[in-house]
Amino acid sequence: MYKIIHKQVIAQDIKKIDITAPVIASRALPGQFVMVTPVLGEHNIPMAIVDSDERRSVISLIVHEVGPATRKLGDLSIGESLYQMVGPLGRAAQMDKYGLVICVATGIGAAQILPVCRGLKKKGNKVIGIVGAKSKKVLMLESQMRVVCDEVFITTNDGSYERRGLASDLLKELLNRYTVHRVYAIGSVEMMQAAARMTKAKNIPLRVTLNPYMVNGLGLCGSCRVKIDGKHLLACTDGPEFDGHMVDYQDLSQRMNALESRSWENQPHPIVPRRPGFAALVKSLWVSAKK
Amino acid sequence: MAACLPGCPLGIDIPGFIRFLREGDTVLALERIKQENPFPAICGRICPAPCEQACVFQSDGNPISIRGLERFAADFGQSKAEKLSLALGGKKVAIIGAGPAGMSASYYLAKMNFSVTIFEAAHEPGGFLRYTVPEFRLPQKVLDEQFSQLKRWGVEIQTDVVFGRTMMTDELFMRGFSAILLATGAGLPIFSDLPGSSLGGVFYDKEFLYRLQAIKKEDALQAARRQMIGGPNTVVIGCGQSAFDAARLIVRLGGKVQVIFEGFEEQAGVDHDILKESREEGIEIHSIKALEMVGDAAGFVQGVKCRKLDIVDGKNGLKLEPSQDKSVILEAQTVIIANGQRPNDLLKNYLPQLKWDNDGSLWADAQSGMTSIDKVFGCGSVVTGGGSVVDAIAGGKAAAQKIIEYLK
Repeated sequence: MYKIIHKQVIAQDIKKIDITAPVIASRALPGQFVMVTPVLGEHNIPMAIVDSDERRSVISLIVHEVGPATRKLGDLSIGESLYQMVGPLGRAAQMDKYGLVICVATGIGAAQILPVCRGLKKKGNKVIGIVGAKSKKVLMLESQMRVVCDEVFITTNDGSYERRGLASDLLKELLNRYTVHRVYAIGSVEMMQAAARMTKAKNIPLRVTLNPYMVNGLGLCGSCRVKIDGKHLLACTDGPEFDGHMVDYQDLSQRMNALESRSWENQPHPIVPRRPGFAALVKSLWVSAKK
Repeated sequence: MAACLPGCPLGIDIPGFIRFLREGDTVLALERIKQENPFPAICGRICPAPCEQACVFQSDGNPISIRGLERFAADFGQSKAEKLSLALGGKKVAIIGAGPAGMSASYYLAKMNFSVTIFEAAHEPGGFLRYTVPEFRLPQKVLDEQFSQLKRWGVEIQTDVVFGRTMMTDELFMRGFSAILLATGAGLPIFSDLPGSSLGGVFYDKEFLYRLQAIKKEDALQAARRQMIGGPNTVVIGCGQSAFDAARLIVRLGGKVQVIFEGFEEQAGVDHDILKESREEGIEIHSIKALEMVGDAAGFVQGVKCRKLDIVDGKNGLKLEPSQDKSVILEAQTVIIANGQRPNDLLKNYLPQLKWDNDGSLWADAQSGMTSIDKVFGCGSVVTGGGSVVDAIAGGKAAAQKIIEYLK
């Protein structure tokens, strides 16, 4: 069913995949996502719909190969089919004619900001894009951003391309230079937190897209809960876009850290296995007697 | 009339089928059960058995094991494949959600020659039976059998269709469906206000069960076990069926579990057998009030701060009150919170014209079963706000009869 018709490596460990999905392509709005199960028995992966072409009934996804499930998805070749895909899920990004809009993205967030930029441009806004990457090797979608946005600024953390520095520093500079009407930020929690601090001081509305750990995307389990304005909301059904000034970033980073950075996989498991019982003793004696 | 009869929400003729079993005729016994309950293999395993509570021998503490007898009849009384319903072609009915309520409604509608289509959002049908009831209580094979039986009756099941996202109401009516039955259930845990509920290693009951049930492979299970169960000690805060399911699942994965909740053991929300079996498996059950979760510097849970409860002689019998002693800390590397459940906001966001009750459940007219939108009906946990499997099956049955009445 969901057949891969095109695949392209666009940066280190990052691939762009085009998939035929008529229903999803006809319904997808900017900011929505799909849940992908690459092969039977693998985890579901939430992935932003980067592009949807209704006429060709094709959607594009961008895969960052970091875990076993994403690696399996990246390994599928052209002509193969995905096991399952559900979508479009989540609410669409808030869009209207605002005036001058700055869209900031770091890392894999660039894939999520592209459809938002496109939608904002279609509504008649002037769009400035800021893309932050670790180095030139992992920078992606630069040309697409240059086509969509009126102006694009690129920063790399190690200075291997364009400017050296953080995306949030550049945002600060631009906020001082222009009268900005709205800011969209997608990326690391620190960047979004910095953006919230800066825009709150200037009273500019901020929209952020959060990427907490998500299991099925249907509002069933509550794994993707985030604290917004003191209330627990679900990123899968109430989001993934939220008001940036309401988000509890400390809670978010704690939860993201808890599920992603530390895993017990590399350590010996603390549960001591049960001692072999009487049957095992008899068996070992039997084996040694045989020898 | 036998005492157990009013206990069963489905109204199964309990003395009738037990009489057949006594005579040794399992086939007739199963037929007698199936008059009222289409899924005895499921109910025989996981029904909370309100009939056993109503049994006349309950006062001796030794009621007749009606659930066990039902399971026996379901497993050994299958005589032949039920005959196909060939005269499909009546009006079309769409059912949203393939949980127990949707399953039973589809059965009764298909029986009356409606052509029924179930739309399910997840990859596999079954709803909470598939994703939160552990394998040791309800084997997936039994569930698959029920669905192949439904398919034989002519029910069509479409998975991976999200109502309100991939499938809209207008589209359903345009495709010729005469009525829509919302049986989306109440799957979302109610979030707790306990401090520290965002720490690593803290899960909600549904979340924990879902993540382990969705796994199909052994190596993935080991990886999830290492990621989710961080140490030998686990504390389950709260009670109810899914709290005990999660606790017993952890025991099977090799952990030590304490279940703590405010209240007496009789208020645990599960039947006697499960309490007994849990204790046999080494689960400790305490009446303690949880105050907060204690975390380490890295943001992972290390323990649960609790206050003991004293039994106080109140006006209406005994009751529990927090004692004045110093609080104790129970060591735990994993904490599971069971705080009840509610329907999620997907429907609320998609159909703002739907009317909701104050407790967060869907409003449906008691007489006609219809919600505030014409030709859209509701049944199961989304209307009642949560309940047992037998309540959901009874709700689906009632809704099917109401739809038949409406479409006549």
